[in-house]
Amino acid sequence: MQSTDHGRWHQAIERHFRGELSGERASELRDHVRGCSSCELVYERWSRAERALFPASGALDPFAQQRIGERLFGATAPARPSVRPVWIGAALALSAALVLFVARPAPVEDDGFRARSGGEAVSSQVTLRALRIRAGAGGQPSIADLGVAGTTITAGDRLKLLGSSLVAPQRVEAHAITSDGARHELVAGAPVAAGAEDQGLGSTFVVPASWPEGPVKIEATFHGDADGTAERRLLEVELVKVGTE
Amino acid sequence: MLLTEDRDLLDRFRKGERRALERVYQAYAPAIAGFLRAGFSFNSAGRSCRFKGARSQFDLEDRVHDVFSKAFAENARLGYDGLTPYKTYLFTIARNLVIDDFRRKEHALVEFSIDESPLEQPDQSRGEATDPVLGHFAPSGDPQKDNESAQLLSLVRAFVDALPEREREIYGLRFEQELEHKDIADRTGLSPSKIKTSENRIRSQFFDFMKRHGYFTGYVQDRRGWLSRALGLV
Repeated sequence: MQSTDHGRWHQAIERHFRGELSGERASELRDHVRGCSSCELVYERWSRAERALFPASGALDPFAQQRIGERLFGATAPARPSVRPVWIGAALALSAALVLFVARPAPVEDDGFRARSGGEAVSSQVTLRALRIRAGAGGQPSIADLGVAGTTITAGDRLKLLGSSLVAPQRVEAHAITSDGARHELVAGAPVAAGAEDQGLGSTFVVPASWPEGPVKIEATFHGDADGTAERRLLEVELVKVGTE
Repeated sequence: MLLTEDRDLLDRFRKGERRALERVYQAYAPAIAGFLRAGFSFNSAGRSCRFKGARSQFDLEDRVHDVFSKAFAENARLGYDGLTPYKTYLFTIARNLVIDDFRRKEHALVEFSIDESPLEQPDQSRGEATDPVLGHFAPSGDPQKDNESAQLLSLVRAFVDALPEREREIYGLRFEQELEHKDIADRTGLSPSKIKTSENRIRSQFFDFMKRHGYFTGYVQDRRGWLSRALGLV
């Protein structure tokens, strides 16, 4: 462990085994470990400790099986627990619930799967996520998942859409529909490979100052290349003025 | 025998319904992992070869993921006839993936050996814990490895013994007996969500315990914002 970068990856390995790393972050970590023998040794150390909790387990302990399952199917809840004080979390959840209750469209048929985006219940093939990126403390970027209740956006925030497709290649179009009914293109025909998880859709998009306050719907349509199907995914987020979050 | 006996599940599986896929994955993942951990012999270009098994747990997790990723692709789901045992079908996919991997990197001899021994049929029962209590921590004959295993198990025992009574009970049911959450709920009266919370807490406390006892010493933690740069988002 000679460089600071290895230290960062080792920290990520710890978070991975604590169940605090998922989706794109876990994928980034695995890509790194695959090519770094020293980090793979650290991974093995943590894996061995984890397996020691299940002394009678076979080749795959239940936590490892769960992590593989999350890669195959996607986690159904954000991995990292919130650290906000309880009362702020409750207030945000209540306000988010009120927004979603008013704006929520009729639910589609529910087979039990809920996308990581936190949107409406959908079928199993494709998922949509959206990240908000803004400057955080000390100049470090702050990244938030728009699927997490209480997350809002404001002018100047950058949005990054991510798409996943379990089994078939897709082309994705995405729009944002602001509270005044205007439709704004975010993504035009971005490809998502079969089996891709959290694949970036187009470039990051900067929320313009011209968008009005209020609910913003991010609507994505996944067009199946092979079978001509079209599946819609929807996220809703509140746009607030700077200083009112 | 899951898919050959449950035609409704088979139908939903073929359609790619998530719950059906998850159920199939949960049912067969341990067996596939055992198969890939144990290794098998095969023939390539007239040579008797042997896949010695996944070289690490990280590699094993990748291989298990790749098997199910391929098996759950539409062509593979629709290609399964619903008559032969699905386990056999999965093992064939796993075997073919490994052999394809070998052929792609024939010069990498770390995972493969070429010998004169006769071809063996894949032993689908291998890879499971040989010792029902110690499992993969059973004595291997390697003094250094056995000493490390003994120390690790000793630490686990010390950790478990120090758990509060209720969590020690959950540890026994979930970690030692590997009962499902709903089965533990039936026995204890706790809700499955509480059991899940306890399970995560036990895991987190265990890792904290191991860190305090120096099991993970030797690397530097850095809390600066590497992830954002790594993601290429800024």
